[in-house]
Amino acid sequence: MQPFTSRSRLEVEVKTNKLMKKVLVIDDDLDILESIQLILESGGYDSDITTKGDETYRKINQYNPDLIILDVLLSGNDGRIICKNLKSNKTTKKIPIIMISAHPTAKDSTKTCGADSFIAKPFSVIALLKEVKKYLA
Amino acid sequence: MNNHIIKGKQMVTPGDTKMRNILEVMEKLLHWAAIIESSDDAIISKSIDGYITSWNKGAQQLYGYKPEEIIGKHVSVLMPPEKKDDFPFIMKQLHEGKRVEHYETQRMAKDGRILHVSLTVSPIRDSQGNIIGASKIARDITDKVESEKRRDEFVSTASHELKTPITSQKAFGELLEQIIDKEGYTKLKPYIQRINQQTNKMTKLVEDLLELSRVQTARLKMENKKFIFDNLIDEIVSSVQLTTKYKIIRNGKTNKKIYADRERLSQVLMNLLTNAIKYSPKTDKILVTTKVKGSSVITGIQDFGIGIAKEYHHKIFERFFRITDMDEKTYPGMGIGLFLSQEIISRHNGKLWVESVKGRGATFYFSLPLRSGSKNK
Repeated sequence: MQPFTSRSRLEVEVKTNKLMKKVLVIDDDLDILESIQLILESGGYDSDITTKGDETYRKINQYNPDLIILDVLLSGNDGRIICKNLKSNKTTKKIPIIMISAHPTAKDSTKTCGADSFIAKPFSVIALLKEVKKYLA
Repeated sequence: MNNHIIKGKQMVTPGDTKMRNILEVMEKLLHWAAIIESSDDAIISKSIDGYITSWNKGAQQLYGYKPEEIIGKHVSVLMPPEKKDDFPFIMKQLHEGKRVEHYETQRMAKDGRILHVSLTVSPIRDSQGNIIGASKIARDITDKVESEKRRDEFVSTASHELKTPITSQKAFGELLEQIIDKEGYTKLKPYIQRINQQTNKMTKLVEDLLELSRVQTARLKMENKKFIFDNLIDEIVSSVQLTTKYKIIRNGKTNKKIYADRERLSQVLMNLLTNAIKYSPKTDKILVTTKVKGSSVITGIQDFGIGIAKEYHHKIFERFFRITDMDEKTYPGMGIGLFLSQEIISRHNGKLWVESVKGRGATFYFSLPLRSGSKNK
């Protein structure tokens, strides 16, 4: 399936400016990634996405996000291990991490890896923006 | 040995009834012994202090010990370290003269394998009625336990897989609704609302399935907090009120604090309210009452709908049970809601029941203790 961006299809008007807070989203499902990206745009945030857990570190260096939204099961990578690594690294440990998952038992395990909060999939637009706002107010 | 007895029997003179009786009893005993010996279940006996006194072939097959290796040893050698508490538990039951029936636990075979067994233990009494030991039947349920575990894992994985497409569907749906609002495409609004409502319904169904498998494996966790119960009822009533034309009328306020799992109780209230609406199509009101009775707070949810025949008053709380009479089977549902609700209420040490006459509505009541907490903190 051809991925689409909000700008080309749904024509959500978003003014990009340098003061916008930046959110990096990592999830192995492209549709979920794009829906989150649209939600973030509707809330006035800039975002970058990747489907590959391995790319997280490179993306952080390059994009320098203010917040990370991280899926738990990433087809080949465990988001909890990525979270643990980020939280034990001096330069990245201050970036808040919201972990997301549809897996029923994931919530408890994300606490132990240092995630700042957890949102269960499926989430509502309002709930996601509310959680993001907590860290980027 | 059998032959001897038959021979012996023939030798007995017709007048010697005492001897005949003894032989008949012995024959019976041998018959029973043969049944025990050939059983696939492990059948053993033990003394009152727990030393093994007999051991059948089934026991040898299950645990791997030969009779000469195990008779005279203590039963606790069969218990893995984390199940050593079984011994005092079973002994206590026996001393009270009670049987232990279908008690599912684990045992350890000679080679260290962990076995899942279902135990039935009964006291053995002497002719004066004193308990002198116990008989113990152990059935190997390892296959059953493992297949349940696999099923549980499957439900968990399946719910994860189903939720992935629902996640983006829900997000895109809500975003579309926002755009429709913003751009003023009012004609499209009802359609997207329906789509979003159905997405939420689908989420709920997937979550119910998952909860069900958790209840079965006793993994339904309770997170108890202290809160004012009436506030929760008000909250749920007003959120259900938004979705229905029925008038939900609140009666009685207790203002009592309870120690309970708020989320789980909302689930119960939601379930009972949506049922009340679902099963009363020709009416337009629902009554929600709370009152204090003794050391409990009792909540009643009353509808004026189709009602429930008396024969079903208990069955409706069973898992997957659905009334299949003409009227009832036209209503949608999976037979999970009331089962889950009852589980949740019983984990709070409360009770859930129904009072109803067919054709005259139904009132579902549940009680919650005001002081003590739940079994599952």
